[in-house]
Amino acid sequence: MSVTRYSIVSFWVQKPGEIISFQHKIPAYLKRCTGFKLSLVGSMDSSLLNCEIGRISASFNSLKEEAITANLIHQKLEVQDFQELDVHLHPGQIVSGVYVDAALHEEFTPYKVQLYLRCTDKEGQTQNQKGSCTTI
Amino acid sequence: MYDHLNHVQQQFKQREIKIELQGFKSVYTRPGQLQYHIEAYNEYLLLTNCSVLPVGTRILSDTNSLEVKKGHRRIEALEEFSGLVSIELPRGTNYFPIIEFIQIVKE
Repeated sequence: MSVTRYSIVSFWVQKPGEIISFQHKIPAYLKRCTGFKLSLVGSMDSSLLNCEIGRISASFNSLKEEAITANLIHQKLEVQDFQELDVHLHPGQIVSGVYVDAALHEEFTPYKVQLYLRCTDKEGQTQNQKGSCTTI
Repeated sequence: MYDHLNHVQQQFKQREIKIELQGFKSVYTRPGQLQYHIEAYNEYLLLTNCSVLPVGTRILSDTNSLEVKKGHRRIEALEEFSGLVSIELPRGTNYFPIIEFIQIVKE
């Protein structure tokens, strides 16, 4: 039986226009990344719900595969489920990326971005064959 | 000082990216224009003269983004950009540098 694990990359955005680089290691026993989801933690002015908050890009396997480029729009994030990925993970390699805050407004409140990476320990598993789920 | 070109060759070999062409690309900035765009699809641009850029310069791309801070004057590391690369000089600057990249076109 396969298991699904959610590996989470999270960081605080403290000022408008901030650029945040991140590096993350997914546990070596996980073989594939099958999806990702972005979430925001923090209060947001209602006028900004439909605005682009920021952009994120990330690569897998120590810069070998550029797999994620996405923009963050609060309203979309609330209804959006995991977006599909199909990346074979090399054990112990780095997920690295960058987040750019796109704020153009003067009033800024710090917020937290969380990138959930849905991974499985089974090679070649399809999106519909999810195992038991645990957050790590 | 380490050898940039040697580092580039080694790193791309580690990443299993084969290089079709290794060259240079320069962006000549000028008064009256603060924003510049370069298309670097299916290629990589490695910034080589970060230390001469005005503090506050932002370089945004599909794969990496950078805002130049004071500390960058002492850093020799190469920043890599790919996709649509947007360069924004800070408002009020009176210094308009030539921005130099190593251009890597992959196979």
